[in-house]
Amino acid sequence: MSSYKYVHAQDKGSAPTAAQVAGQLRLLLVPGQVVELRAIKVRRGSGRPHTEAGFFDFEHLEDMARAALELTRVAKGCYFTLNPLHPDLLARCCNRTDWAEEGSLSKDKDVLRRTRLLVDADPVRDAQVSATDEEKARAREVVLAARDYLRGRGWPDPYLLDSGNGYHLVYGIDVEADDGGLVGRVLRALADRFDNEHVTIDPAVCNPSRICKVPGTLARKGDDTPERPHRRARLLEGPRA
Amino acid sequence: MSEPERLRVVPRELLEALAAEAPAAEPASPPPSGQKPAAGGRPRSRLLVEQWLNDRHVVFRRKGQPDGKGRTVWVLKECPFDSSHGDPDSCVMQAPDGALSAHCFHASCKGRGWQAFKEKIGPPEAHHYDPPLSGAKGGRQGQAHQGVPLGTLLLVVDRTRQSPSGRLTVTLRVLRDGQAVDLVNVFGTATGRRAAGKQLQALAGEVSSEAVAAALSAVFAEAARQLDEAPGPGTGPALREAVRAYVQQNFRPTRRAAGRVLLAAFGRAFDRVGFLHLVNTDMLTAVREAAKVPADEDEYQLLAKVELEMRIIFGDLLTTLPDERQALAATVVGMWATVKCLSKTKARDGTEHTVNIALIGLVQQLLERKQVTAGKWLRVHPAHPAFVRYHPVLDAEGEAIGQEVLLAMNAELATSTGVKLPEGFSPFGLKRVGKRHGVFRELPGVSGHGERGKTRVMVLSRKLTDYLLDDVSRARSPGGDGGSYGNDPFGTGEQG
Repeated sequence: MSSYKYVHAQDKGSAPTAAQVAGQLRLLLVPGQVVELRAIKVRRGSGRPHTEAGFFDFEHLEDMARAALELTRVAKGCYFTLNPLHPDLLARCCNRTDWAEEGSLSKDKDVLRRTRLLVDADPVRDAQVSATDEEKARAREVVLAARDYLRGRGWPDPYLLDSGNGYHLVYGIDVEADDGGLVGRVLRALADRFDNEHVTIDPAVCNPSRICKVPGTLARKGDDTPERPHRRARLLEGPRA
Repeated sequence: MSEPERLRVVPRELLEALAAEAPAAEPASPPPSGQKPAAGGRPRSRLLVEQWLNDRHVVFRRKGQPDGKGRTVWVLKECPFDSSHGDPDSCVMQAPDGALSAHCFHASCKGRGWQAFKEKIGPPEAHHYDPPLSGAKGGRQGQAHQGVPLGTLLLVVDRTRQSPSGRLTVTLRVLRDGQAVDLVNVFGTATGRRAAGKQLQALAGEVSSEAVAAALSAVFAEAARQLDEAPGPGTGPALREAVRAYVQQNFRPTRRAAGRVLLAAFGRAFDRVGFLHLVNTDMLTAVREAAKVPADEDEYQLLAKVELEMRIIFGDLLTTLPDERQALAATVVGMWATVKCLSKTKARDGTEHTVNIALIGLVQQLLERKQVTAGKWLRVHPAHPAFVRYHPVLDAEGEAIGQEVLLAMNAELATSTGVKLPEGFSPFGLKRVGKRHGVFRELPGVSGHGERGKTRVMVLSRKLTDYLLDDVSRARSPGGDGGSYGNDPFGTGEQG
């Protein structure tokens, strides 16, 4: 079975346009949903690192993409919530981003329904540094093996994302927010099957308000070294028509 | 290039099918309070977290406020798993029912709870529990104390004493090949143990600091056992009598020395007051003769014992002389009121004020004499018995008594020292004047304050000290007043 390959207009490292990112976000999200953009450890000048966040509706995803591309230059990472949030949250910070105060970020109880299942494969390494190319390649093997395995069980195709230091699979699901641990068990089953000494599938990403790196933004763990470079998250493959 | 299809939804059955293959969830860490859950209905032991962490040399601070679930939180300076996780990332928590939990916010510490922290820091021992775990108690009872080995040294608990305020002081005899090489006083405080640890390390040579710490822990366990069994404080009736007799007959403390004693009793930990400078060779010889101390008794040991007796005598003196009592009580209550005012001003870091324990011990004794239940005024901190915490709000009755005593003190002060008090003066009505410590300036008799760590220290003015000392001198009753140490040693000192 073959997948649709996204052709990236830009080379690795050069920034995509806001329109491109917004287009990818529209694929990853459910039409009409409210989403939070969250940039962590934002550092401007000598200011202290802080979190900036804002809520966007589906019509303003291009604004969100623009904000994310702006923030990624100064943030450690830019993330968005996968599952639809309660529309009231829009009023907290409507279609813009601002310094996040305590409690202003979305929480599990703000999630209406689980529409996405995130499978996160990360190389085992010091959590404070970026992955090497070799480590990342191992994560790719694992994530592709997991995708093949799930295909074999009759699962439809997911999106495959490069998260910068690892890989994500994003599946469409339709489960209530309080799923009684269903998603957690799914991830544990996958982790049990695919974890090895170099790569783990993180079962902790099972909570409904889990965030995922915005495609086109940089993962900046540690310093940008040739060995362990900062990389851009990218949407790699999607289901084919 | 065709548009990719939107995501199709994974049917729930497929999710469920895969979920069913998940390994059993990791056992939720057993209810942490499940430490030996009370076999036979015995009340469950509660871990004394601060004592345990101190013994394990974990640096921590206690949060002033319990967390949302009412748990006391001790923030560790360094996460035991990764020292780069500093304050406030990791913490140990104890629920009101004693249940324990621990947490580090870093992703790399995810999943590490109380059990993991406990193993990493080093599991608590029996004496870290209140009451101590019975399993270990069996071992501690019955047998004679054999001493705690430390390298080439043997540490023998020589004396154990608990101050009225509950602080434990241990005198250690340090033996090398059966010969006493030194005596070390260890106080039940972090500082005291550090000092003792250094001393021991110097004596023992190449012994690791962990070994010293372990030995000190064992010593304290033994000391606590001895204390349980001891009939009361002291070093034997004969020695006590001898010291008392010597003090009564020969001791001529200068006014300054007496003042120091008094200040120490009020402002500093009474336990730490040095009396050694008051003990001379003559005294030792006299005591040795009077108490028929065996000739081979180590001189240092005798010195320590005599010093201890001096402490007891002076401590009792301060609280038993009847005429002095009111003044003392008044002062203490007055200072207490000041502390109460102060306690309204929270420290910037949110910590509560913990107040000098010696002062509190004294307050407790005095208040008991006035039939004021201490529990109404003070309470022992549940997790750290060495500290007593003030009730944040004084109840009406307590306030009335305090006010009465304080006003009486002020009236006496006004007549005896010539301090003019404004009309309608009430220290309880004091407003803070400008700066947050302004209140001190308006309270007669207290000339200043200081802070040592988290302990507030009050300094009495010279005027008040003089006044109290005069009062002490006047209170001298040559015939004794029966029972207490009536023949006050100060009385034989020079008069005003």
